[in-house]
Amino acid sequence: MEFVVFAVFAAISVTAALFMVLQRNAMYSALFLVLNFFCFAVFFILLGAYFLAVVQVAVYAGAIMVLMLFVIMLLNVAYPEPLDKVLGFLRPFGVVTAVMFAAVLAGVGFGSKMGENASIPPRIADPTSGAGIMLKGVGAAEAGHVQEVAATLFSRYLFPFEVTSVLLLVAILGASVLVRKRTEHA
Amino acid sequence: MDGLFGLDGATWDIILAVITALIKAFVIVNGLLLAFAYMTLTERKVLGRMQARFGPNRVGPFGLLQPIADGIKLAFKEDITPRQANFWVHTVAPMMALIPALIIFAVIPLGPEMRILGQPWTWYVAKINVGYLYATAIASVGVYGLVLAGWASNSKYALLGGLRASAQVISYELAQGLAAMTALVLAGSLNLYEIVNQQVASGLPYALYLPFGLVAFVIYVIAGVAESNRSPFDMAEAEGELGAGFHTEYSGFKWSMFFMAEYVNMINISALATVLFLGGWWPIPTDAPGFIQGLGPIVFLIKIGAFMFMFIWLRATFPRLRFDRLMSLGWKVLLPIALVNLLLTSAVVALWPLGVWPFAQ
Repeated sequence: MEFVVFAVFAAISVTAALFMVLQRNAMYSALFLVLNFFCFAVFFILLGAYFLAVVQVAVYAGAIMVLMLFVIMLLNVAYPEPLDKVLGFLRPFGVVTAVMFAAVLAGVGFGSKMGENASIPPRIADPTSGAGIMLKGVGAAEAGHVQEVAATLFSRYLFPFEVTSVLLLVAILGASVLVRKRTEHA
Repeated sequence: MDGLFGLDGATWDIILAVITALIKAFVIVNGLLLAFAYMTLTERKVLGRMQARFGPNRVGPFGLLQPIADGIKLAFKEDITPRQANFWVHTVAPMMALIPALIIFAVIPLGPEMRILGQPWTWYVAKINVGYLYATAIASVGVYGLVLAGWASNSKYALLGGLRASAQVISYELAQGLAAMTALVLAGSLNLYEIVNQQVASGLPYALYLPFGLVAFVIYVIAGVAESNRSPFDMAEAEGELGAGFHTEYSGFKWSMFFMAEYVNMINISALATVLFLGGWWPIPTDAPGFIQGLGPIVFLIKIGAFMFMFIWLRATFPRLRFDRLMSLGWKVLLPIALVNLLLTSAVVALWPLGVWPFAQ
């Protein structure tokens, strides 16, 4: 049962991801990305991480992508220039980036110590299942609880958490400096 | 039922649970749509009385068949998609507005868990430990309907209306979330059933946890009115400026889906406010004997009805806000107050033992 649900949504999410990259229309790309986010929420539910699933929908689908749609609508960039013109001399760099990304993916995918990777708290990863797909048991269920996430976030990962918030603050400040009206020069 | 069709008891329990959930979902969705239909009639009649006229009173006794006549009319109207519009997005947008509105109600606990004829019975479809977050997450997905309707119509009125509506919804979500957080901090839980239960057990709904609970409740309701794009915050469909706003280019059943989404969202916001601040089925005790427990859902529905009446009353009373005033109210007034209110509440909850409110009575 779980496997069937996973297989169906995995297929949908990969298809959506492909369509997102291959679309010429930026609006459609954004919508396929939203579909992809919903599939991820389903994966989190399968893992017993209800909190992460809900946050995935609220933050990524509900907030960030809506702002992306805003930008697409306001700047009217739904139909951008053909890629051939835009890319130009950047194309070799694109190839290099793609190769590096593939290498990172392969490294993560074939890495032997999946459960000990820094990005996955050991309570979520079940040491007995190497692939980390169909996690069951107490650890996985507890990982979805709000208290569990909060405790991990504010103790073990406090420093990265705070650094990320400073990074976001810098981005906000940068944006407001850029759009500020300079009345003294006008 | 052991051994029936070769399935064991556990399997039958699962099948039974799924069937019960399906029946409940069917009843809730149709109940919401029926409530929507009669809400439109109530709104027209109440607005009429408030403006010293009668409102609809021709179709059926007291005009009671008016919503049915309206529904038939809308269903048979021509469904027009403008030639320049994006057909697929134009078609999907009303569904993306209506479906989230309909599925939020799954987590609303209408009454206490009880036994009917010896069988356990619950007044909700799902009791999940992140119930409130589920409701807000799904509600924030409903914004897509407005944005996409505005974009896909390929009309300036619709585009500006969609932008206004979604900017407004996103802005007021923050104040609303922070106000709701006050109740969540008081309850120490995200589970809506737990939140109601705590209030019923303490005998005091969170709106009466003076002063912070009341402040949070008022902010929640104001933000809720703005969230559902209702008057006096109905900038998205300011007739004088934008035609009908994001649904200018819609007609027939697709238009009525937006209409349904608006009213069902009002019901959802009322239900959530009842759960978070008015104590759900309070003052009915959760563990009362069966018959009294059965009054729980009735009390809950009366509270929702009071909210719905308030929505109409506001519409009849206040003129529409200007858009920049609306934004500064959300960002510069409600958000800071809600934030400070939440901090003070958290401090009180941290300093006093859980469940004790020092300023009560």
